[in-house]
This record gives sequence, structure tokens and C-alpha cells, in this order.
Amino acid sequence: LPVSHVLQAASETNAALLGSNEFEKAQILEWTTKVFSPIVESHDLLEQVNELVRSTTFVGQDVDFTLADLLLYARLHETVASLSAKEGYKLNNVCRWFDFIQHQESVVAAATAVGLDTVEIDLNAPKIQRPAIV
Amino acid sequence: MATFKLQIPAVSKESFGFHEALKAAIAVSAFAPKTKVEGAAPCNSVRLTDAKDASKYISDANAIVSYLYWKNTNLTAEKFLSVEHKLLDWDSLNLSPLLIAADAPEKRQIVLTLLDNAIQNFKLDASVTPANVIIFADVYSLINGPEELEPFETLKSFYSKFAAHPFFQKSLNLAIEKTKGQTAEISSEQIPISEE
Repeated sequence: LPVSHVLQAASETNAALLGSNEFEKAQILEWTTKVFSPIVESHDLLEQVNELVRSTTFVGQDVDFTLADLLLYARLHETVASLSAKEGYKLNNVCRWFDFIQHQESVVAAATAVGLDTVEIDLNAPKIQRPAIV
Repeated sequence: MATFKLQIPAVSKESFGFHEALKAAIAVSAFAPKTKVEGAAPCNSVRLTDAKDASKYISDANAIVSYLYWKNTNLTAEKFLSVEHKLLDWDSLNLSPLLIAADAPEKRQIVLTLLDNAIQNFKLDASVTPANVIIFADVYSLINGPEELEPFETLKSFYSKFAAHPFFQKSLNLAIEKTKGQTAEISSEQIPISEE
């Protein structure tokens, strides 16, 4: 039962990772469950997070990252790394969120420890190939 | 204090989306009856949204059930996690994939056996808790009629006791009405079975 274990571990080591109120806690429960769910495809998850972070900095809290951000970062790492420039621009909310999370000091240290490389993300619009004017 | 509205998409009664809508509808009826409920909502799944800030929402039925319960009872999330979360975890990660795939009678029998064992192992009574709401909705959405529960004594007892709660029929009507966008029609098969 991975969700129970990870929530319990977070509550024992850094309770702030579980959110600051009941609504945030429920959001973190939702996204933590989705991270481990065998019926949620990574690309669907990417699109869901893209919608969620359209106008927010973090997944579950206004002021700081939570367990949901950390687990989603780890689950989506491979998927984000495989996006083409065009796909990345289309999913620019989640790419912007991912880039912000992967550069947090504590995340860099944890990612290095488990062998997750920094993903190069270009948030600029892809260049359009225009026909040459003769 | 923030107020929330429950958004329910238009889905067929046989779909997994209806199953999710039923969980949320029971939670609203049991824990937060003043919550505004919108049918045929422009979202892919059931969603509890902050009425003043649409960017804040919960879009998972189990998390919605949990939140409405926490809000209603003032039970701390930490305490809830220690008491009930293992069953929610089991429901989301182990049972849900089986529910989606349980289209044939023999597969339903396997899932019903698992549910019967779970109710015994987790020592569930028919009180109105998030775990019971979620397991009840699982059973309701799985079976074609109460007669399918005859071989499962524990499950049958749990189902009939929970279905006897006065809010259940209201919840069912709400889920049907909001997912169809029309007035509910309840067949005799949906009427809660008695203990005997």
C-alpha cells in the first residue's frame, strides 16, 4: 500500500509536505494516489497537471511545494524528458512547473541521489520554418 | 470559509464515471448537504471546485469523499490517514483496476469475493465513514442486482445496512439526475434489499 506508506513517512519527517489545511491535504491525497495508480497513464497525468498548474505555482499549496509536487516530478520525469519541443510548448504549464520543481535546492539533491538528470526544457515557442522569399 | 460546488459530468450509468459520481453524491448527501451540485459539467471527471477560485479543485472521488468528511467532522487529516487510509489506498490502487475490467460475471464473482474479504479484514460496519461510502459505491456499481450478493453473507449484510441509510436514495437520485441531466427513474432492482 504505497500511498499509505509515503503519506505516513512524510507526516513523520516533514508534516508541511502534507499541506497546511484540509483542502490541500485532500489535493495531496488525490495526486499522490494518481502517481501510484496503475490505471492512470503518464501522458494523461501530464495533461491533468498541465490544467491544474495553469494559474498556480505548485500542485497542492500556494506557498511551497508539497509531497504531491515531489512525487509527480519523479513519476513524470521520463515523460517530460521525452517530449518534443512542439509537445513541450503545447504542455507549457506543466513544463514550466516541472522546470521550477527540478531546480529547487532540495529536489536537486534528492534527484542526484537517485540518478534523475536535469531535463533541458525550452519554454520558448518553437521557431516556425517559413518558406524562403525568392 | 471557502464554499465549494460539486461538478458532475454527463456519463452513462454503466460507466466508471457514474461510479465516481455516486461516491461524491453520497458524500455530499451524508456530510455536506448544502453543497451546490452542477450536472453535465464541462469536466472529464467528478470535481469539487472552490466556488470563488476555479483553479482550486479536487478531481478524484475518494479525495472528495475524504475532504467532505474531514470538513464535516473536524477530524484531523493525520488521524484520518492513520485510521482509514489503508482501505482507500487498497480501493484506488488494487480494486479500481479490477472494477473497470469486471465486465463478465465470473470476473464480478472474483471482485465480490475480494470485497467480502475486505469488509471482514477491515472490520467495516455500516456506519457513514469515507471508507464505507467508497466500498458501498464500489459494490453498487459492480452488481446488476442485489441477488448477486446472496453467496456473500458479510457483503450482503454491509450493503443492505448501508443502503437503508435515509440519504442513500437521495444520493442515488442525485447521481442519476446530474449525470443524465434529467429526472431520475429508479427501477425495482435499485431499491435497497432487506436484511432477511
